[in-house]
Amino acid sequence: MSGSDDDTAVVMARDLTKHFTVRRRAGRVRRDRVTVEAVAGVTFAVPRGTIVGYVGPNGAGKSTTVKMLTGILVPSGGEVRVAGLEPSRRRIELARRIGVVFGQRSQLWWDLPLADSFELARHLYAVPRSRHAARLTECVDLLEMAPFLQTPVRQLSLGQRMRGEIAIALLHDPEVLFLDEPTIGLDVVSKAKVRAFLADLNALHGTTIVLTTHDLGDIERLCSRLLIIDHGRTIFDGALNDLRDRFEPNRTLVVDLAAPQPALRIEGAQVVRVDGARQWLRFDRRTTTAADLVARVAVAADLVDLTVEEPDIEDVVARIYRDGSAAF
Amino acid sequence: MNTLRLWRLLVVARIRAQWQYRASFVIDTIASFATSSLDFLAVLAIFTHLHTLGGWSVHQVAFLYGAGGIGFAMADLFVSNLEQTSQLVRTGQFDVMLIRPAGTLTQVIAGDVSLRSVGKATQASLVLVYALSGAAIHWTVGRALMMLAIVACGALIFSAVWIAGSCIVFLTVDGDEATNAITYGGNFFAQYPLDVFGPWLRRLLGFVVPTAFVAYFPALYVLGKPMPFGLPGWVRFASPLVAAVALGVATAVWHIAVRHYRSTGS
Amino acid sequence: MRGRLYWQLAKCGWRRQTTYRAATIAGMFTNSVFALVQGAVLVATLHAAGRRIGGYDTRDTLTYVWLAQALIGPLAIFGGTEIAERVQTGDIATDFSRPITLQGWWLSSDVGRAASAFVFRATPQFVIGAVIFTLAIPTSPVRWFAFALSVWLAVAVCFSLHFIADLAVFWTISPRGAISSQVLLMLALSGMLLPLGFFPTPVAHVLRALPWAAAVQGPIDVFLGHGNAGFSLLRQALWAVALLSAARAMAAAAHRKLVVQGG
Repeated sequence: MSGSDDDTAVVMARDLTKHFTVRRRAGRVRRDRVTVEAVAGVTFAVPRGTIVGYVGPNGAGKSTTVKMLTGILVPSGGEVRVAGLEPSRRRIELARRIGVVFGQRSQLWWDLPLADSFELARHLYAVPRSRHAARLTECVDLLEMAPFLQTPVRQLSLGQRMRGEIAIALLHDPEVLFLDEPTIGLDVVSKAKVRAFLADLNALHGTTIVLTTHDLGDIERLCSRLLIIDHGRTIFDGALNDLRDRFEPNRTLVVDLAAPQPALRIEGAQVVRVDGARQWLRFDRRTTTAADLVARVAVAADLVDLTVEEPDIEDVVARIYRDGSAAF
Repeated sequence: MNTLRLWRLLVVARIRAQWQYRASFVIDTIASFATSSLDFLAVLAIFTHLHTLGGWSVHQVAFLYGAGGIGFAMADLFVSNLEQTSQLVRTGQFDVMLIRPAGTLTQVIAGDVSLRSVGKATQASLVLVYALSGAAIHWTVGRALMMLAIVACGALIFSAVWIAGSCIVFLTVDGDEATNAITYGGNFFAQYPLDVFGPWLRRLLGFVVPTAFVAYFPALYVLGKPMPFGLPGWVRFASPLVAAVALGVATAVWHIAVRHYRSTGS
Repeated sequence: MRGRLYWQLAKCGWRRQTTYRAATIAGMFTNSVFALVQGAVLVATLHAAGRRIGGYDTRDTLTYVWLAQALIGPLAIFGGTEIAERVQTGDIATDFSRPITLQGWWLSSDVGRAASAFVFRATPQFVIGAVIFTLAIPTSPVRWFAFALSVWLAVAVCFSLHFIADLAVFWTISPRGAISSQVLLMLALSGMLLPLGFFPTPVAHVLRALPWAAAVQGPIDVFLGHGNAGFSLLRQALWAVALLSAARAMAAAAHRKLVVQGG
């Protein structure tokens, strides 16, 4: 990374590491001290106004990274800058400029009405009353929170609570929004609402969004860029389409023929399934193009219809998790 | 936003939330009154066998108990939510404190107020009234002022003890019970004259954990008793200084401890 | 079959207790500090009185102090709100649907917990006291056996008192009342606060006859050889039987209430 990236990057990590010392049982009484590298040298930069997805299997170091970016954890080594500040040293200053949503921690006062939590947040972040009111109205409208604004948080459904969590993280108009598993446990409708809201937020206010998730639907719907981390190291950093190209070169051509036929024999492709008049041909897009293949099929058989299937992102990521960085 | 205003704001919110459980509040207050009465019951039972303990009469011991007890109850009222630190750390909810633009110590302390401590304070006040009724004090302006200082310094010293003691959970989250040794243990220790304890206990629980400055030293002045252990006379007036230093040290320890927070909860 | 289940539950209780090593050490530290302070106060009391009090000399008093603090863990003096929490959350309904009585289920795991606490918490705790001070340690194996029996009876008594207070939550609006009263009575009347012999004689007589004395003062009397051990054990056993029966009846009533009102 060159130094000039720092000027446009609102979130920056360079050789970031975090290790924990844990005691493990080693026999009946003895316990050994073991050092665990939760994050082992992660480097990336997030330009202002982008939405970045940060994914990886459980225990890969996602949450630990986000916690270092937000000032919750003190890094063991490397450098972090968020909005130009070193998070753990200037935590309070940073807190005014970022918003954080944890899928599994609540920032709301659980035995007070939701509206009271918002009011407390106004004081906590010292937001001028008029600006707070405008922002709150916007959030209440977009997240459809009006019906349960006066309900104590403990009585809210998970979907309602999560909308409340997102709102409270945004009332002080942060430059960067960090979300850790924001859609975990939500039903389809709530998930869609949350995703739409985040997309609007980014489009209208230019808020930079960094989100960790297990739900690749979040990534496909929201993120222009994807970071994959495993065993504390970044194993992919790029656009979603690049990911497909790099890790899954195979595509599938689905052809509907005029009449059922035995499996076609086509150069550069392999029939993986036959169902009546429909056949599935797998090919490597680095050596064969779909157009060539279609031409060859047309010669061999009577072609009625065709589609090209992109590999499922879930499968790609599952394969990367399984194979680790060896997939390179 | 300044710390005091933030504290008031959060505390008012807590009181509003607690107001939903008024019946519990009444029961807890009564229980608090009764539980703290037990310790004094023990003092009275002990004095059925003797006239003075370590050179102190029952009224003089009651003075230590009452004056120190009010300070302890006030610390309990305002800062005992620190006992929730282990729970906050265990569940990872402490994360939330770290992403808000306010001090973590303020937020934990303001997380709740223990209104039931009013029961404890009432009980300690009654014991103090009993003490003053029988201790034959020669009142002067200085001694009257010292009474106020005892309560204030007691509250501050016990608060400092609570803050410093709570830091252990950042090192080992299940170690929270050890805090009780210096908070409740410190209060138990401060109920009796320093004279009855051996030199090591005196040094550790009287001076390192400075509970001797809660009631004992100021009481020597108010009750007109001589300085023990060859200590200079000014020690009787050192409580405000000790309270200030203790608070300074405790907050510094807290800030160091928080940097060791591991956020392992899920 | 049933026996195996009880055994498994006890083992689970044992294992749960041993998981938290830091908590055990922290607890021992705190109990030791209290023992040091209380020991100093009571020894000063004996010196000031210039005689034995209620049959206690200095050595007996220090033994009492360290033993009482050591027993806090196994007897869970301050503990026992787990059942009350389950009543409040409604989880208690699943406990009633098990192929074993509510009392049998919780008692078995509590016995396992107490055994573990006795080995890993109470014993080292008492050894600390015995290293610092000269304590009155029984030499006769019969006395040790009687003490072991007495501790088990105390566990049964404490369990039942907690169990009854916890189940009272079924009938009270606020859970705290019954539970805080139980802890309060336990502290005041069991001999935790002071050896019962330190109270004025008529008061001490009354306290000894109450169930709480069977929880703390009972085992300590047996350990110190104060009074007739056989009589003390008999009194403990009677209380244990009475309270276990009361707890059983309470559980049955709670079950009826649950079935009729659905919680």
